[in-house]
Amino acid sequence: MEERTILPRETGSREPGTLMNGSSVTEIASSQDDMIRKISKTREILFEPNDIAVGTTASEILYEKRLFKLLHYKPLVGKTARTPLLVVYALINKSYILDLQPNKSWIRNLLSQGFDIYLIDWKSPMNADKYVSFDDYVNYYIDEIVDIVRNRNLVDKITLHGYCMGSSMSVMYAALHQEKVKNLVTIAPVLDTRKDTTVIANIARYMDIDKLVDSIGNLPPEKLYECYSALKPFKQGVNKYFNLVENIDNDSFVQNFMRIEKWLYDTPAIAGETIRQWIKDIYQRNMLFNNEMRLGRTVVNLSKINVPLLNIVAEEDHLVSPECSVPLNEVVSSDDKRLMRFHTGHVGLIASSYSQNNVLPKVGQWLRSRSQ
Amino acid sequence: MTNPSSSNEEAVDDNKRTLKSMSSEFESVYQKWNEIVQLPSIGPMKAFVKDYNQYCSDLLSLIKNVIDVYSSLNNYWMQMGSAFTQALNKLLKEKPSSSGQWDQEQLRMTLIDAFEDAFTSLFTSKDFAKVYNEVSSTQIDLMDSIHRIFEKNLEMLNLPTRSDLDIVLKDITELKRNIRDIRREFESAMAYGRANNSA
Repeated sequence: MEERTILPRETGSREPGTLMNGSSVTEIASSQDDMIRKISKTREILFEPNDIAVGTTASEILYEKRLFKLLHYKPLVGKTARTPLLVVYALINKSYILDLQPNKSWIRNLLSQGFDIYLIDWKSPMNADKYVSFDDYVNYYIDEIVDIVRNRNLVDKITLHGYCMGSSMSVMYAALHQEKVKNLVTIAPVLDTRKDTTVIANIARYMDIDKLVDSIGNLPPEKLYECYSALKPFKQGVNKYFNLVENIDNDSFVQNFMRIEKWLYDTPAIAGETIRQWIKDIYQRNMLFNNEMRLGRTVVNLSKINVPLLNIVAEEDHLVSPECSVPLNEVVSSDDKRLMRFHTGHVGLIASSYSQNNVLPKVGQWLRSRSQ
Repeated sequence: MTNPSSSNEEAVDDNKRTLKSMSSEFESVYQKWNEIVQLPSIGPMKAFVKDYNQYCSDLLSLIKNVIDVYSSLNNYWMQMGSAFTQALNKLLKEKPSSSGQWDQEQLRMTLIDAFEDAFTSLFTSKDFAKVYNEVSSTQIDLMDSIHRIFEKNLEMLNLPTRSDLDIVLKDITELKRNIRDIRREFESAMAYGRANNSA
């Protein structure tokens, strides 16, 4: 590397060739060269990414329709639980966050604890699906899938396990079709939106969703990216790129970063009528929490839920405030209900080393004793 | 000394007023033209300018929507600019902790904290939510104006418009739901029948 010399102007007590902080000019020049190399490597990786492997746990597609795929995961150990577990993922982003990489996979961990796992992987709606609503998702698609799982495993009831928006959908399903649900496990459900202090809730409260849906139809991903960019814009948005440059020579760090980045910017559109209900009924009128939300001809009454409930929330969740999720335990009629709080964020709760070591062992323990 | 944020607001208000008056000028010129063509002596000519008038009206509404988008974006950028200034002010007040000099990491964290605080408090404010949704709303109005122009052309060519397709799609979704309900009722009736027979 070429050595540069900068002559100091001042003639104080410093050694020639040293700057005020004591570093030698050569050291500074060398660290600048290293920084330039790191930045250009980062640029290369970000703009020309190689294949990013996600969702690698072995599974088969059991059933597929235009709006969803039903995946069944191959067991990793002998079954320890009789009741199958159906994971209802959200309609936002893709379900592979639950199986992001082998050592941080929510799915793989539960498989290794002996659970039989099915997952609903929602597909992107087409323009023709703009009138598909929560009634269709809950009373038609989820119900059809629940029947498939029950028949395949020869059981009357299954464990329903939702994440984020998928938790809210699981709650709606449990309230309406309780006879098919043995346990309900929710992660960060969107429920009492009046208490939600997040940027998303703030924007949703003032959104003219009727105008947007009537004009655009399905909610395009770009609208969601607009919202994401306002979530911790500097601590996460800007800082993560500084961290990437610093750690660009650490392959494992780069791979983790790219997997999350791929997930963040890989979201399907949301069907028009569904997002209308989500914003208007849930965020603006708080109807799900107030037992006023209507799916087709039926009103969803959460007080009818009396199955065992495990509600998991993240204290540092900036997408769904814990205050918005916690009240689920207050409104259901279940005698057996448990709230677990963890000091992590929305994604950290399901796809991190923290979740592998602290969250999943407790979830597995709760489930095992109720899945025989 | 003048408060920079209040002078910003005044500038935006001035801008808004100018844009609004531009928009009403356009409208008033167009209305006068419409009145003229309806005069009895010019009336017979009206039939010949009917299509032209419709295009004029669409174009006018498009221009009005562009002005509205521009005006709402001004408000948006004023709030963003104000948050940026707030972050810079906070940053200028910060001092390095120990040696009297910033080290790179410390400077970075201070900078990020200052900007994070300013922008997150902006994004969680009621004012921002209103302005953000005003920008979205005016953009939708603009898109709707363009849709209307296209729909007229499709009608002229005797082709189905988006509104026509929407009606059909809505009907299909309803039909699918009805079929689903009928199938369910049929299946539960069959199951009931089977249970009775076996009993």
